[in-house]
Amino acid sequence: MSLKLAISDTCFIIDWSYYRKREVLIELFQTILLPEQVLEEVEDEKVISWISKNLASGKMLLFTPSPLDLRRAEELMLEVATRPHMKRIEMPEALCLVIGSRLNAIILTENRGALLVPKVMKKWRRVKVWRALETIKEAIKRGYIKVFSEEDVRKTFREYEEDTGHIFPRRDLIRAINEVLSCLRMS
Amino acid sequence: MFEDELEKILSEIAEEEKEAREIRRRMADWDFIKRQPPRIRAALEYYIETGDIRRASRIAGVSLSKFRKLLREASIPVVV
Repeated sequence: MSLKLAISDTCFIIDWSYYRKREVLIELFQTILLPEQVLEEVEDEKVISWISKNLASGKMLLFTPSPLDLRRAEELMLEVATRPHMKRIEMPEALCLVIGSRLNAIILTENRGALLVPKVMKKWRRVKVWRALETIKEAIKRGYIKVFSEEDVRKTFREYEEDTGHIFPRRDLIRAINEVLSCLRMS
Repeated sequence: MFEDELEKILSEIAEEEKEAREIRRRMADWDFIKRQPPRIRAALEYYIETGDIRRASRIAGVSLSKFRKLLREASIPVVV
């Protein structure tokens, strides 16, 4: 069964659009929200045409943040900025965190600052933030990406790295592969 | 409990940052970077050191989308 709601920031949607299995994202979630501020940052033709197609089909939804979302996002940005060990976040990521938290949506991001928020800030701990790594992992576990062997699992992650110019941190990648293998009883 | 974990989390984050920086430095196409105009070159070098794409794109004076394309051209990976 697909997950209900996700909200994507700019870097995630740009890179994911280059992935050969990008349609998996559309199957994995019922609806993917894109804040207006995120869409404004996308200029790449390949990315914008994929987004437009999904906006037209209703799988992606352009989201206008409320004045309260904007105010809360600004507060979050400032709070992060005052913590010396944190990486700064800006309005698009802060908005994704605020809206995702309010709507109980999974936040899709490749922004390191946004990834750190639930790890380091206690009141944000319940928020679910996924990178491409977690997204692919869940897509395999839920059967949206078919794999028949350990090599298939490794290949799936490797394909994303090749298509997008990403490198998953090795420790996280090994953990994700083991989790998938264990879930699919391949280990 | 959360406070107890924080120190461990921060130490892991610092280690991950270090690893990511080393990967970006190692994989970057330095010939390509050196051929760029000063502003773009500075932005790419800034990204290699920090991984901060937003600030790097502002240094370059280009949009996030365009800067992401530049990173691909310069073979600088996004390590996340």
